[in-house]
Amino acid sequence: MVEVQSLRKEYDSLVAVRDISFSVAAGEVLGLIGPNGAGKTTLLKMLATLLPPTAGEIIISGLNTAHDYLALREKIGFLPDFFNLYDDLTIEECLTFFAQAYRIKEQEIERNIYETLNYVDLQTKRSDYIRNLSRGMVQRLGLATLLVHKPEIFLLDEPASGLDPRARAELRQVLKKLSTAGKTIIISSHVLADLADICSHIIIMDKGKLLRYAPVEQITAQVSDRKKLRITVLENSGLAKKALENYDGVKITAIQEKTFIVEIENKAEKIAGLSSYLILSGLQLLAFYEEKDNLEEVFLKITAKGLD
Amino acid sequence: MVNPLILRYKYSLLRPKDTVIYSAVYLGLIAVILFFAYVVIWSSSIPQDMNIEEIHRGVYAVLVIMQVAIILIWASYNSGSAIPNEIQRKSYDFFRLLPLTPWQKTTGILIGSNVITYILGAINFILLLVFGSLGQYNFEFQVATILLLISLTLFLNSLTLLASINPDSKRKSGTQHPAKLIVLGLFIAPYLSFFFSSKIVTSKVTFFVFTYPAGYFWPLVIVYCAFWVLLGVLRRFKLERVPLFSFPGAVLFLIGFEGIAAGLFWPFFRVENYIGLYSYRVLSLVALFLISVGILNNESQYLEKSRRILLAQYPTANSLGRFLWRSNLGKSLKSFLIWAFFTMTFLLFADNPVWYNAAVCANLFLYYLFFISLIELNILYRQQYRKVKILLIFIGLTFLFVPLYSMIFIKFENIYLYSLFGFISALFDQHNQAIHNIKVQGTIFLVNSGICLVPLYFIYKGYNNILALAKEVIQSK
Repeated sequence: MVEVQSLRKEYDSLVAVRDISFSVAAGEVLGLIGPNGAGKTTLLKMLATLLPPTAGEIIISGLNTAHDYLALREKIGFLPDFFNLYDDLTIEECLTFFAQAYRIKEQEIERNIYETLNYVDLQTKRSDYIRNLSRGMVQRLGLATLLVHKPEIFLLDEPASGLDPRARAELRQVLKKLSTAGKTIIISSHVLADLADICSHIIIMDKGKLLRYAPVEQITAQVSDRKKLRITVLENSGLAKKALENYDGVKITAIQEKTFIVEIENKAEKIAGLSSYLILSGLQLLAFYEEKDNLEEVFLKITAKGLD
Repeated sequence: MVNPLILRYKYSLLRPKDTVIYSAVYLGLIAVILFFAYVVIWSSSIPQDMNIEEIHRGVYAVLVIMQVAIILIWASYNSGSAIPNEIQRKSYDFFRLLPLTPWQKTTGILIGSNVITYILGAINFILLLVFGSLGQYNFEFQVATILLLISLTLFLNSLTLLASINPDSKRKSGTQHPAKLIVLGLFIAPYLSFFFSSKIVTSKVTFFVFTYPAGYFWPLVIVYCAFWVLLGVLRRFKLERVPLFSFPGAVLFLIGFEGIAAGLFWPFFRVENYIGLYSYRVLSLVALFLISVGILNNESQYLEKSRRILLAQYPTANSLGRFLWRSNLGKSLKSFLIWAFFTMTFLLFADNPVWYNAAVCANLFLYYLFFISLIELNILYRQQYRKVKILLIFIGLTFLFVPLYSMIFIKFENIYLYSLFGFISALFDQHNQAIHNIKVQGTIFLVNSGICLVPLYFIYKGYNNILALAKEVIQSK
């Protein structure tokens, strides 16, 4: 679906994107993680055909962004990081405009808008002026302007930025629906928890370079030489604490009443040995499972190590 | 289906309460005009020889001024503000990504952003016809006025739109854009005097050997110019990352310009109208320079060109040659040759020796080459040296003015000829001995050739750098 080959973007003396290559198959959700200035927005804008690359190639659905950018724009839905829509229009007028611009048939526009507004949960606001919407609603409306023409690929640049936790949660629900529906999405975000839930693959970028590109699980597994375990005991939390402190290679990182978060060497025999040890110590285990490394920790580890 | 962009503007501009306000303001203005005309003036002590037609004509004149304000100034401002407003509002990315055709985007902005102005303008045209008839203006005069207003509207609205389109602009604010400069220029408005003069109808324009009423001829010329501006707008919307003119388009424009200018200056193609003949060539030189700027590639376009040349696997020497042919300098040279052809042809009418005409062309070429080279240097080196533009402007101004000012201090009477302004002003003087002297022309040629070598050397280096960079990029794949 998307093939990126040796992509490069230079501005004056700054190299914003440095020889990046990756591919995204149809139905995949690719997350872009990186600090400010990593090149995520530049990369997304090149994918969206808004910026010409200095070098390299992008092929989307068989079309080259350098030459076929006008044809490609019908297939792409791009949501910029900072955007506004037309304040002096109502939601319905705005979506009608986008539907007409994308050549949706007149008789289908009304139904299309109805479904889209339900999808982003803005049905009750359809007659409201855009200037009266909250930031979160504007973000969802932005997504709606893409949904209304059903693009083949969604490019979302920090869709959750500037939103309060509730608005982020609502947006995350919409994004989850999109990913469950099998849409191809490339999304960048600082709020890594959002990406962890929906992404199948991750790219980690820093200073224009691609540091890591792999499925989410592979990235977390490669980076961790230690595993995090969540252990909950039925009772005797004091005994449990002592037993864990005495077990070689275990470090307690958090305690919540009868629940312990521990770090242990990423070795199967060590982990199996720990559960046997706790049971033999007279403890009854209610829970004993791996706590997945969250993406934030992965990102910090990778960029700290400077892996490439 | 109606243009979606027009509909979008219609939603936002034609809200019932906005429509009421605009209507109220417009009708209020009309009421004030009519009140002053028919109540205040007519009822005051009026000279015996003033009749009611003169009052009607007075109203007509005010309505013309209103029309200029509405469809020339206000509408041009709206057309020129549409894109900057999208940028400022941060909706420009959405606009660019819309799969509207260039024609839809163009008409959408020109008509959509001016929905109010054109409705008011249409009403005003009706009132113009009414008061024009009441004022006993002949029908031809009224039609000529209307045609002139409509053609100017089309031209200026398109021009402000063209001036505002710059897809890669880093402008964050919509408050500073070239359209405003163009609109400000309208306030100088010598055009206004046109409308009060019946010379629109009575005067004739000689075009080659034919004669036409000015009132119909000039609108046609303006529409022709508007056609080119619209082509530029369509090109900007269709092909975002190319120069304003394609080279064939630039050639066609230049030939068309030469044809129209030749037709207008035809009566001057006699020896005793020396000034007219040279005015024609200088005017077309300005047009040539404008086109030369319009066909310039920027650095990223150069990289793409050189990448394609290299991928076609020409040997290095051929690559540079091919690059030169397609470079800004190469295109400028080709454009100048077309201009020189017309110049050599039409200067025969000045009854000067052929060597003189050739020398004039050659020297003008060097002045032209120098300034184009400065522009090219800015394109090639601005990434490396951010302030190079300031230096190049300084060099250009020095080249233009220092020979002129040096006349005060240096006792060399022909020194002014080494300035482009001095050289051109001398062309108009049939009896100027210096410029008709082959040695003087030859010396100017030699000096300017030497001066041009400096920027050309740096341009040559710049072209080689681009080819090397393109080669590096290809090899790194």
